[in-house]
Amino acid sequence: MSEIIIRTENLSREFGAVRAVDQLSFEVPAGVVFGFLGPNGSGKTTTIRLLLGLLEPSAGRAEIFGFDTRTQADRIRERCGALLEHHGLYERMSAEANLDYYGRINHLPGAERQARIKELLDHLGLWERRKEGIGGWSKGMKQKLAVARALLHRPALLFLDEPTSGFDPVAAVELRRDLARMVEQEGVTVFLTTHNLAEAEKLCGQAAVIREGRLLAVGDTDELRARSAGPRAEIRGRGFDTAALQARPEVVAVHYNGGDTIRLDLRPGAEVAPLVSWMVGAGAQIEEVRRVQNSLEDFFLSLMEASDVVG
Amino acid sequence: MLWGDIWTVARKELHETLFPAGKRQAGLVQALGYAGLMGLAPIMMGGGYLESWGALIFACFPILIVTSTVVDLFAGERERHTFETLLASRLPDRAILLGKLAAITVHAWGVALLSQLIAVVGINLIRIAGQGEGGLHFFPADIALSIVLLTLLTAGLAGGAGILVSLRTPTARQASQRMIVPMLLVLGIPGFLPLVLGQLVPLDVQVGFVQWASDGNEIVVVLAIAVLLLAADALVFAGALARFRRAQLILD
Ligand SMILES: Nc1ncnc2c1ncn2[C@@H]1O[C@H](COP(=O)(O)OP(=O)(O)OP(=O)(O)O)[C@@H](O)[C@H]1O
Ligand SMILES: [Mg+2]
Repeated sequence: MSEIIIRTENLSREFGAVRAVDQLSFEVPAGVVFGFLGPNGSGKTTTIRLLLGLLEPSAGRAEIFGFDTRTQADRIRERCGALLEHHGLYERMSAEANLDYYGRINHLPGAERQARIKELLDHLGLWERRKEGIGGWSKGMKQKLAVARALLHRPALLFLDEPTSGFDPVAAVELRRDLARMVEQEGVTVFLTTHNLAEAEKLCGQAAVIREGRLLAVGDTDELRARSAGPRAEIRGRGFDTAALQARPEVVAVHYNGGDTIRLDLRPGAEVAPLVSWMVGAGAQIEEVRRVQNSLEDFFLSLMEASDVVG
Repeated sequence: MLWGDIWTVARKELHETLFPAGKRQAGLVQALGYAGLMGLAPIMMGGGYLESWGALIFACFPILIVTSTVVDLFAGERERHTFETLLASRLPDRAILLGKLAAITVHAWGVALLSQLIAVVGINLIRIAGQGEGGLHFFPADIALSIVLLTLLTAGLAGGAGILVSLRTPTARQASQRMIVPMLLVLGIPGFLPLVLGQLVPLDVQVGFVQWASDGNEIVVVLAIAVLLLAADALVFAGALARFRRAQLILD
């Protein structure tokens, strides 16, 4: 079992009457991308602030690298890189000066600092524009620079709060690739929030889902995906009898809007082939059948629906 | 390591103030212009200015420039959302505070000294043009050193007071409104204190003191003021450090 990097125990934070973070307990092992998922206002950013010692917990505690966030946050911050809710770049300074400042803050010696800045800016395609004040840069360009700033000193733990917001698809893929490589080759741990669940699914080895500050689920991403309801089938054709389909024991729900495709949610373990034979027997003309893999998004949405019912 | 961190912060603040990207040298030009403006009144006073201890008061006025620079240090960073990232960095509290204080102090001190240099140059130019008389005039050594010392301590006090009141203000605008009272206190006390004392202290004591002081004891008075200023500097800095609670500095 690998080393635990982040451990929280009933971590809580209130703002007046709002419980932004409510008794969170989870662990993040070394060398994974840990996806921290949840709807708007669910407490993701607040949790990151608590972990970096930028806010005090109202109750509970958290430990990173074995250091308490309340009393030893200096030791924690030394080992972390962070891209927070806002990019945090100085718009009256050039791209290079922004990175240089954080290189100095992180005690990178002169030559190494310059080499690293060149490497990162080259990699992001921003080297030619390094002397420009970044005030006029596009959102995505600034975001890329902010990612570079977080990576600059090769921290052992990275906090990334919606890192790909504003990224074009190519840039998003490249960042995912870079992060995956860092995790694999350098053993870096990444704590990441995102609203892009397809991205989380590709990138995160483990994930937690929170809502209203409370933990709804945590575990390996594959396992979470499998936990969502049963399989689904997508069937293209004509002559569907939706009422009869709804009555079949293996069908949980029928989604059909009169077009040429019908979607069926099935019970866990249900087989698609017998159902298709039955449909053909009942007069449907079928052109294509697809069994749909459960996605993290399905799991997320089913969790949200379930917690709507409960809460 | 602490000194290195302080230097990192101070260096960036000074650079950003004097040479903001996109408006090259704008900050430097502003500082020069301000110093020039502040050097005008002494120039009008002519050669006598360079022999007068009153120069100490004039030398301190340019320090008012901190009212425009201090608001950027904390309130401005907060407003532009750069503060939280800075707080998330490994910099210790003292380095952030001392680095910013050093930058603002050096900036204001530099402007104050520059204004006096401009005054000296101006006074000499007028002298030479008017009388053709040779030889450059400068402050006597004791006045020159007193100017250097008192402007430094006053700049530190003004900067520290500015930081103290703006540490937790959410916007630069609110911070500049809050700047008025501390600046009046820092720069007004030297102006008003003599007037108040003039009302309170019996006349013969005042005359006696002035006679004693001007009998070659000016430097003793300056040193006494310097000690008081130093104590005030330390007090204000301790206050700012006490208010600097990292886990309470993010206000949305
Ligand atoms: N400084 C603050 N003062 C008062 N309330 C706050 C503060 N910070 C966060 N909150 C509240 O805490 C809750 C959680 O906010 P948080 O920013 O952590 O959500 P989030 O999950 O990051 O949302 P998003 O996905 O929109 O970024 C919200 O109800 C928010 O209003
Ligand atoms: Mg957020």
